[in-house]
Amino acid sequence: MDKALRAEQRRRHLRNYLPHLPGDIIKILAMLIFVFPFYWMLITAFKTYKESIIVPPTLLPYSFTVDAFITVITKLNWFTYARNTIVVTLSVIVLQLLVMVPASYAFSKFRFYGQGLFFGVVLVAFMIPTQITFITTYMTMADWKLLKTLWPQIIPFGANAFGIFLLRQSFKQIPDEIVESAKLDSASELQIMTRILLPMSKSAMITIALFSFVGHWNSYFWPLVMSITEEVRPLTIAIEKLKEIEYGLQWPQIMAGNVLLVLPVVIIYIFASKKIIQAFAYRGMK
Amino acid sequence: MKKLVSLVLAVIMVLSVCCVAAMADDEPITVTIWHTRGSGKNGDRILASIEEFNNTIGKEKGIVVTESYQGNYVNTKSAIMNALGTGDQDIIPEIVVLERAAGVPDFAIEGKLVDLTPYVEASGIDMENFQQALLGFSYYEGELIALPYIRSTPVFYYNKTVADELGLKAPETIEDMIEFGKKMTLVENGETVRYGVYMPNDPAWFIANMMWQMNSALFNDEGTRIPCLEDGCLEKALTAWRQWVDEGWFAVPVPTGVSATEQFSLGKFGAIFNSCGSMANILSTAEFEVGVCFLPYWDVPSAPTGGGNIALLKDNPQEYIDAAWEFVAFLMSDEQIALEATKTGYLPTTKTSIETDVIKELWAEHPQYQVAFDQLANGHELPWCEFKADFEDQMTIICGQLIQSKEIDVATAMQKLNEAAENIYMEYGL
Repeated sequence: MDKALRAEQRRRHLRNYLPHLPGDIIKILAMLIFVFPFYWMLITAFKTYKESIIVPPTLLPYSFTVDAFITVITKLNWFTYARNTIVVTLSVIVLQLLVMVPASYAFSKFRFYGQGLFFGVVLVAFMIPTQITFITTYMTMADWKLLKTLWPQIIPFGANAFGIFLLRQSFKQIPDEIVESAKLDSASELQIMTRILLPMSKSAMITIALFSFVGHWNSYFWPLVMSITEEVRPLTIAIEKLKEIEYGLQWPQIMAGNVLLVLPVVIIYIFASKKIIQAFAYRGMK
Repeated sequence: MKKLVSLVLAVIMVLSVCCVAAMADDEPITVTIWHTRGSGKNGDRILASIEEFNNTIGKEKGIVVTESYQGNYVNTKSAIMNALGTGDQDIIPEIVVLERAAGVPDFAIEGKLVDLTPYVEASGIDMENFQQALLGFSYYEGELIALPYIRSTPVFYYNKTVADELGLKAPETIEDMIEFGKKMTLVENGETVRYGVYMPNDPAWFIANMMWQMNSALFNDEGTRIPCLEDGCLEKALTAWRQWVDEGWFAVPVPTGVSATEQFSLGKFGAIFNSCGSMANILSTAEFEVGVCFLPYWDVPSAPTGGGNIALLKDNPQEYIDAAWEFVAFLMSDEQIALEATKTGYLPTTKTSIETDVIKELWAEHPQYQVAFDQLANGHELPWCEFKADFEDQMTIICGQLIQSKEIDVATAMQKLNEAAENIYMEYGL
């Protein structure tokens, strides 16, 4: 009797699940499509050069080796490049926060002369690609004698137009009554920004920070133009050095370099994913 | 007491000034080379050269050389142009590596390159000692503005193991190559598992060379016309190329970024046209005996050259230019040239460098390297031509349509090439 009941439950469960099966298959396929390039990058990094070019390719390395990683780290002055990338990325994020938060607060909670014009200028800046501005910026940095430092990779990105736009929209969704009641409680503008608006805009802040982090961590064109010495070059330029065209593309080394480049982003996501989801769920109205 | 203290302070001040002056005199001059040599054997070689110079001649003469990788030839050229635009001597490098045809002329025409003639004469460097085929982009308006540095030439690599099994010899002429390629092709179950011959879609090298082999030329000596468009030679070469591909034994060029040398090393191609710069990689990767011979020729043997030259930029103080020359002269020594050739696949650029033990041992162990050098006897260099890059870009696109995607036939390809040429002549006022 129990067996029959359990069998019937299983059949019912399966019947209920079947309509969801096509959707789950599509999700698994989509996941494989997105994940497979990373998997390929990872296993190629652990192959020998000969195994990396054979056809048909191997999905698991025959001879598992870390030689590529050792070569990349020892021959490429990897820690200097990593240090530069970390310093630039974190500096840009901090600078952007310092500029974005007051700017967004002003655009969302204040009325002042020329507000629309200034915000329009911010939007226009958002639409201008960096490839148009790099020459004048390069000349400016040269005049300021900064080309042999990390500053050309930081200063031009001190203001994030996309971030100002997004944060302004997020601040606008916070009722003005909350700000007014804070002012009635003698809160300063800084306290209103940091203790009321920012906690209620965590999702926007995290989105902006993530976009900025990934964008600047992976930045190639700008550092290529703005850095003229090895001491200030980031990881992305180091990987470019691995592409030795005439000698042959050393795929394990290129992939090892890319694994090391991507690893911090993956680690941050793994540790921060819960916080990210919590931040998006937070509404602040209690 | 106060007077004594004042006197002591005055003496200290004078001594410190003297020390600073002395230190300033003893501080070495630092010069920088901007180059295209990334990592691996290529990058290791330039670093080794710099280290050796800094520890020997540099130490003796108070010169320190630093290096900065700037990417490929295109990126390096852009970086140099940006630096020159600042006019800041702290930014502008003293020594630069430029692509010989796509980089040197642009800077020479702008008068940015130092005339090396007095330096060469003072150093006792004999320009006759250089492989003459490598000097095409070294002179401009009577001035020596660049020296051959990391130079290469394409050769014909072939799978000697399979060729020997089939009783085939290295091809010499195009007719030999056709027979060789057809016999090297292996078809199993209707699928071509090994193509006989592969040639990249690189008209600037291979098609241009075929024009010389047909006693024609891609550009005339004045760099003002494209003679092969008018004398039928280009049409003949493109017709043959398309026919070979249609016959199934000549591989379609693989898309950009996919290495033909890998496919050759895996045995997918029986033979490939490729740079001697790939020699070290191919010899170490292929699991069969690799044969190397001259490029097969149509009517007369010929071989193009490529790679980078080294030059000094004028926009620097004279003493820095003088110091930079010391490093360039060091690089032009037979020992350095020989090490360059053995550690990478680049050519020995001078005749005497092949007399060094280093080269002799290399050639004894790997005679394939010698083939590239010997081929220089048939070496040809493109003339200086303002519109070279423009027309070569068009050729690459149109040859891609003809050979890779096969969306056009030879007649259409020739029509497009002629139209491109006319547009270029108009644009450049020719």
